[in-house]
Amino acid sequence: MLWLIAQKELKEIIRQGVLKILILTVLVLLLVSLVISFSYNRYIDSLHNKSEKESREMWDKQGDKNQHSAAHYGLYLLKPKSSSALWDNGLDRYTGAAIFIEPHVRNNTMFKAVQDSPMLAKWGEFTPSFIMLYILPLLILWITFNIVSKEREQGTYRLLKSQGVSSLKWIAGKTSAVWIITILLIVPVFLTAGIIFGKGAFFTVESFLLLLTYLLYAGIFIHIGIAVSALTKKSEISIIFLVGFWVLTTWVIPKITSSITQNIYPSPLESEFKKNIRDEIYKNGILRHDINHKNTIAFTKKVLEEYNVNDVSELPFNFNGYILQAAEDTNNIIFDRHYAELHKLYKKQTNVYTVSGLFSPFILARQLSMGLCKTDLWSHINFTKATDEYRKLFIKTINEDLIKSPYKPNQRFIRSNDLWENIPKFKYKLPGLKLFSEHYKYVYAIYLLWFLVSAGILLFTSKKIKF
Amino acid sequence: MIKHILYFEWKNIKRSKIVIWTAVILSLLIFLSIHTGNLAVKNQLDDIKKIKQEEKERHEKLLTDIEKVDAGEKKVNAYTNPKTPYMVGGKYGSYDIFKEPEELSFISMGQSDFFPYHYRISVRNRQLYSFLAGDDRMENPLNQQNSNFDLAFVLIWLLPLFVITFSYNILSSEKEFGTLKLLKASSVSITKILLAKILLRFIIITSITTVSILLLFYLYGVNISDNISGISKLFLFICAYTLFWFLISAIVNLFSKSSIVNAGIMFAVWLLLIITVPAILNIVSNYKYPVATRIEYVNFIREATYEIDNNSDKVLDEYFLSHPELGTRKSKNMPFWVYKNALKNKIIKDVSGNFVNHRNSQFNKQIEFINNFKYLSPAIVMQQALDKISGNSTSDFLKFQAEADECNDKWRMYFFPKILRDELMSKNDVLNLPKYR
Repeated sequence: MLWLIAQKELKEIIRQGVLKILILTVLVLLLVSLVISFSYNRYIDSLHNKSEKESREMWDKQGDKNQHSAAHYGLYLLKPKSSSALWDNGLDRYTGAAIFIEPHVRNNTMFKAVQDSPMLAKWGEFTPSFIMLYILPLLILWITFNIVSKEREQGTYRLLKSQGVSSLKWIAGKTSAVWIITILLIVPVFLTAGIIFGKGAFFTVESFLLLLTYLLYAGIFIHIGIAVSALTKKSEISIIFLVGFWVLTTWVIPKITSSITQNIYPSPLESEFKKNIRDEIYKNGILRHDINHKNTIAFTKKVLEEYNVNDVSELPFNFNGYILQAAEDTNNIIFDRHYAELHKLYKKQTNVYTVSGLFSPFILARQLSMGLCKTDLWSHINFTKATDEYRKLFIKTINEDLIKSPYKPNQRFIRSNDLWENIPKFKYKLPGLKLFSEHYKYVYAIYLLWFLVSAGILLFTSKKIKF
Repeated sequence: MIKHILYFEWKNIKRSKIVIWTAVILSLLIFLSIHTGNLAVKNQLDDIKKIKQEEKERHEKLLTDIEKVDAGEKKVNAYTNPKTPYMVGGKYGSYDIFKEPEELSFISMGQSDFFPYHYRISVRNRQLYSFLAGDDRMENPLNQQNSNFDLAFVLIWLLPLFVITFSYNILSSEKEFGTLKLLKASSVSITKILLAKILLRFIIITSITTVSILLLFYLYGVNISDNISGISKLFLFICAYTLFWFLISAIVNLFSKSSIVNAGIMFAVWLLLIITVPAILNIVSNYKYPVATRIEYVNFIREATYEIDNNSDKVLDEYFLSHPELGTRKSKNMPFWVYKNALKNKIIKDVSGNFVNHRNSQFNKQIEFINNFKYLSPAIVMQQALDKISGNSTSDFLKFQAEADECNDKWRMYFFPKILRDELMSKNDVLNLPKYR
């Protein structure tokens, strides 16, 4: 019986001209967005690869130079794109992708892509996740808003009633029909796109979690749509209510959350953040270039005492390199602590979003989608941490070479150029599932709760409604 | 007759509670958006105050340090001497310029999410163009992605939805109740009745909107008479925008389908004009006029400055030879890289003109393209108008950037000969520094 109802419902949906056009439109939009997203990612990836390679080539061929001058010449590192970014470009346009590596300071990522075309940035990006999270729910709402109420309006439910169908089976049949359409719309496209565009990296846990995330999101709207249709007497009221729900959860609540977050946990000004670090280094760190600074004097004195000599030129190593590395070691701890605090603040801010996810499944779905596509905040921070680890190694290798070089007061040592090429290249591996589960286990739990509650409401409604 | 119809319509509307609900929800949303907009502006003002305070401390420290050095109280070296043009034009004597928020800025945060509103004029700037500079705040990108809940959002995105729910069934409900036949039998044409009914609803919606906005402006201390032109423009645009959506509603109603189909069509129009068209224009403008990313610029510059970076002595010597007015080359007072960077920056400015011009022209073409097609979506027209009123439009920020670049160039060129001549600056020199802008 359940299958019969589902079959009847499917036929009805397919025979509706408007719905056929709408389903086709969504399908076309999804395919177009996939192609756009794929070509954009490929362009960005090749640009980043090329730029990083060029920067490294310049570094390699910089000629004979003092090691520290070479270190100041520096290197640019660029963020690679994950192949799963195909579905969701996430925060990548807002984070910047280039980072400059140099001694003494940890830099922030530069050049946010959004600043290159800011005019219409507020309208969002036309990515597959945009279709999945904004447009697909609307299609589902359009299918479901009168799925129950129209039978009541047309009186056809009497026929069913006379057949002895329980309201539970009746609703279950309708729900299965909408589920079948949704699955037929999402799953084949997802699998095909993954195989064609995924470059072999498609068959991962993340990909299937992402598919599950999109399906659950569609499911929440299927359940709520049908429940509202069953509960309202008139289809008009049902559609107003459902569109209101969509606008509230996908547009209003995320924006209000952003405003609340910015006010309860304000992010620091860059100049202030840097000044705090500078001040602390001035107090507790080592200022290599300020030889009259008390910490520099104390450090020099300590080294001289340790090696029992009177002047730095008598030391068995190059003191310039030695104090440079000592400054790195001391000051990096200060940098790391300030950045750790910043990331803690970001975590608090993100938690506000998770809490407002209790009122908006969209916020949760988008976070999960970005997290699984590795275009979220934590993947970005993972990248910046990797670049900083590399920076520490990079500078240390150079300083250690300087330490071994002969020391002449008031004269720079010039290193022959073979050192530059020998410094290991930066290799970045995208974070795995561990980072995702670390940050999103509660988000996923609340998300599942949304799904279960929506299914529960539908179940409850289908038992309660009077024929 | 029309008077009668309107009178009964008004009674009907009043009894259906829809007016009360619309008024409550709409004014609540307007209140929330004005409140959050004001908070955002307040945060901006606090930031500016902080930066100004820091600037003041910097300048005071510069003067006291110079006094200490002159009195022999402070031992300095090439890296720490406050009297060098590098320190005066950079670390301590640099100054800040701002694009201060205007009184109506809270209406639309506009482009302030993407452009910095502060720029430091300093010889230390690694980025010689303001379009390369980062943001002022280290904002969580999640917040930037979601943007702000400001009045512009409520007016552009949500107000049309209120219009739709308020008017999708003007004629169809009459048809469904069977009263349409009575109306048709009256002496007035259906079109006239429809227009009258729409006009009534238009007046109701705009009154709710304008009254609550005016009331909140008053409560939040906006000086109405000082901003009269901005505020009247705001109301003009609200009226025009609301009218546009009522016109759509009138057209849809005239085709006289069922209420459901009307609601569906009107919502589809909303989806198309407010969400889809801008998103598509965004992609097309990006594809048609791709703006060279700044990463490419950096590579270009590194290529162009390879010689001075790796053969600094030679390039500096050559420069001194071709510029006898600088005298013989001395480099005692400051670290070597200061001289190198001063010349390097000059070289960068000389070679990057074409690249930057090309970037700017692509950027402008993008803007022009969007401006040509903006009439496809009233949302874009409205957003631009509100951005303009609040001083947060693209052109406002581009103007500020150009100003910052000009100041920075002048400032750098003021110090350039001083650095190469290895001059030291006195307290008097510092007090008489030029202030550009």
